[in-house]
Amino acid sequence: MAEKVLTAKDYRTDVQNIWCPGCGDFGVLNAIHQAVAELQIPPQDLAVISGIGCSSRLPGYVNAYGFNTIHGRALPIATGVSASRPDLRVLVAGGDGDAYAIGAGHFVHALRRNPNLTYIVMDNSVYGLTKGQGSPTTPVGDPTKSQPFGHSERPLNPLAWALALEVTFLAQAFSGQVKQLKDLIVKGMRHEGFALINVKSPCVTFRGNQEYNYYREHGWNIDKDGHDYHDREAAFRITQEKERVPFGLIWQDENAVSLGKQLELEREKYSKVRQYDNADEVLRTFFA
Amino acid sequence: MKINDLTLTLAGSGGDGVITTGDFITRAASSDGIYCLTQMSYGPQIRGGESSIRVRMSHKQAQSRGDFVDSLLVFSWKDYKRFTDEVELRPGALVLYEEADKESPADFLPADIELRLQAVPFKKIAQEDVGVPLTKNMVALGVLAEIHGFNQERLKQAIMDKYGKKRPEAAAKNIEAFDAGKAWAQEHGPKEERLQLEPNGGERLLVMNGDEALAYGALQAGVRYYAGYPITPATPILHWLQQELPRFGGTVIQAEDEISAITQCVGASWAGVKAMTASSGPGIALMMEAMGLAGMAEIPLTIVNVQRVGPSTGIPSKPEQADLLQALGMHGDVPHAIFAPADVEDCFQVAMEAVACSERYQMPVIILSDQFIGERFESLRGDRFLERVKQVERDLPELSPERKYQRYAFSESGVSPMAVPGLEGGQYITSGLEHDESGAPTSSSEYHQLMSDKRAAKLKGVAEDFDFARVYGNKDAEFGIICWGSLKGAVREAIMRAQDEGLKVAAYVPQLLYPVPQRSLSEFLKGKRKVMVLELSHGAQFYHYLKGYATDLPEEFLSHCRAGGHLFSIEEVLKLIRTHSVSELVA
Ligand SMILES: Cc1ncc(C[n+]2csc(CCOP(=O)(O)OP(=O)(O)O)c2C)c(N)n1
Ligand code: SF4
Ligand SMILES: [Mg+2]
Repeated sequence: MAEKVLTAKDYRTDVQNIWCPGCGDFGVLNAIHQAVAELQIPPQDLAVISGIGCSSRLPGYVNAYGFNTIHGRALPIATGVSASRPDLRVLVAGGDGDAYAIGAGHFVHALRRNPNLTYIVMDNSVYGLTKGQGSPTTPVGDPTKSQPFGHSERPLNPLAWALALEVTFLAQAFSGQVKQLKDLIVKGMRHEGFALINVKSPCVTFRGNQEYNYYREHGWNIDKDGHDYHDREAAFRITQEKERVPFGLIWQDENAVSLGKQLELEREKYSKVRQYDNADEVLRTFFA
Repeated sequence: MKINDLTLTLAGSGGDGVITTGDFITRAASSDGIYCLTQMSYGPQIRGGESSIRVRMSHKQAQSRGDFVDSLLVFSWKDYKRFTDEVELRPGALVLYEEADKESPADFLPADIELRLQAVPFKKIAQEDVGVPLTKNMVALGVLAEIHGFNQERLKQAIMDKYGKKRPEAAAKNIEAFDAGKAWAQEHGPKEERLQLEPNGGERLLVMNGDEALAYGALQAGVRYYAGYPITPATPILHWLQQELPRFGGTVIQAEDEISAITQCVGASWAGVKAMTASSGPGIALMMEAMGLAGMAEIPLTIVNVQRVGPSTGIPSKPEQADLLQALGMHGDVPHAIFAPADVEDCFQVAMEAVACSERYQMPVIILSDQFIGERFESLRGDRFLERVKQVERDLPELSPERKYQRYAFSESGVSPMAVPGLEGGQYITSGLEHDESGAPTSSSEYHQLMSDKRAAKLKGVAEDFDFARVYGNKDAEFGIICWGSLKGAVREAIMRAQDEGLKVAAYVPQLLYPVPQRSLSEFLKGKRKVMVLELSHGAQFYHYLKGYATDLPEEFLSHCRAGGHLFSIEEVLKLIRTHSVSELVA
């Protein structure tokens, strides 16, 4: 019998979706359904892991082994999954607060380790789930629930940050452009190592409905513009862009060793110096 | 008559090599059938500070560090000063000290007991006879070997094992120094039988510390993922597993912090690989949120806390038993289990029990060890390990395309088979949110009640399957002592001495702390009129815990506790027994 061809529909679930109508995260969810269908990943071999936030509800809406974990810890949890089960395909999803505020410490170290996973950050520049406080990517001056007279801290630049940390795959997308986002997810999931896709995903409830227009007007499709994603300097320039919002694949390093590879090498090394047939034999190393 | 129990302490500065010397003594004696219990102690300096090593050597498995030091060797009195409150000298004890040290020994030794002082030219021998000042510790080893009758062949073997292959010249010099020390002792040292340790038959023993035993237990239990962040006194677990797990296809990751360590383990276990993390009080505090997640999502997970003096940074190098309430209390009601090993060998077993419990009941399980167990080395019989190996696999579901898999299906035991990624048709959503049987999030308080009931039902099974306690002394005694963890050693030895004095007393040391091992506890409490809980916790945490959670306690339920750091001695416990079991002598 020929294998059944999986379509986007096969990845839907009947878990009730709680997102507001018009939320940018719907576009991300669609793109994911299409991307994993394009990759024909059997649902049982797909792990979708998130932290906490509106965006982090996403795993419930994907037919896969889903894990909606705790705030800010999606990356170490996914690292544990990816390192212990290299046979799985691991997709991580979450918000800007989850990734760049409470999870910032882990973000840095996940990039260093380069586990084989794709991290989709649904960046809406706000804390959606807790109803409208400022986030690490909220522009200065924007009123928020926590700072009604305008957000005062400077936003961080996740793209420049990740590139400086030598991320091995870096992209930015817009949830209103599902096709490009889907293509980037496919590329990210084919990348052996850590793929970061920062997705501008508007929160219509707490930041109004003007952002869709803004990104349409100011979006800059670098894929179409012929950007060379192996050119590190050009990539840095893109992360510094002020007038336009770059969308597309910014940087990729296919040669970096992934965590999974690193662990395999380590296992080989230790196996050479630890020549036991079974765990019982380890006991003899303790004899005086 | 030669002796069969000897407690030896060496003190000096980091560069004096006392730790190496004590280590050689421990390994050589253990290879020759003498049981050792060895503790290292260091000053606060990162390198080169004061250090001391205490070796209790005995013909029987030593239960405690021994109350009194029989033989003390001091390279420098100034360095020794820091350890004076850890070294209780036995009246008549032998004290060997560096002849060239300008300080006066009387300034550092207790005035009220008689001691046998002897200056030894360690430095001079190393410098003039051997030509290498650094070998003075091997001179000392030769002196001690001669005076105390240690197996000299085995000691030389220990020297060769350490230096022979890589640095043959150093090995030769060290052996030369050893012989020079021996020659000195033959001419000038005391030659009394009562200083000589009788050989003990020569069965080869192994040597490990509690952390290593625990790590080995985890390996045997099937743990294949370990993530940890370095912290005294739990670090040896990380070091040992890093050496051993990769060979077995496992993964060890030094995490960026304890939150990462435990959440990595949650991820690995969720993916179907047995996982463990370890830390001490401050790191465990950082892990609490993830333990709640493992509880809510019903993910097997083993968490080791090698307790040290707290709160906060406290005294990292000393033990305390004051993290019990931390281990009990999480945010929300989290059914989980707490196990406590009582000695080094027990660490091996408890690790396997804890992993088995976490896998069978799909819950976080905490092991509360402590610094005194974790970092001390003991000689142990090898045959006691492999016969105990225990592996438990978690229940996997039988999946069929006709039925939707219900991850959290209700069951009497509270356990529902857990699908792991890769199993076709087992896809479900896991979360820290309250959920229905399928795993889908819900905010229904009715479901919260039902699911809380389900999760809590597991505690009954845990108490049935894992109720294991050690009971010592006279079963029918009316006075009983309850303690846990590393206090067992001193209590057990005190009970043996009390029985020699004709006193009736019993002791109860549970391995399972939570849920309350009520079956074994009630059995122990039968006929007890007075029970005392002994612990190293200023706030008497174990006592209050039992008062709140256990039943069948006698009216006279007493607490004897103090802050950690200073261990209870055998003599101290014996005094308590003398005071409290007096009514039985009259009866
Ligand atoms: C430890 C912890 N602190 C705080 C919270 C409350 N909290 C939930 S989601 C959230 C922020 C969500 O923002 P973001 O990650 O950007 O996700 P979004 O809702 O915007 O998609 C916060 C602060 C929590 N759940 N856990
Ligand atoms: S609050 Fe904002 S981010 Fe959350 S679901 Fe609504 S629109 Fe989306
Ligand atoms: Mg957000």
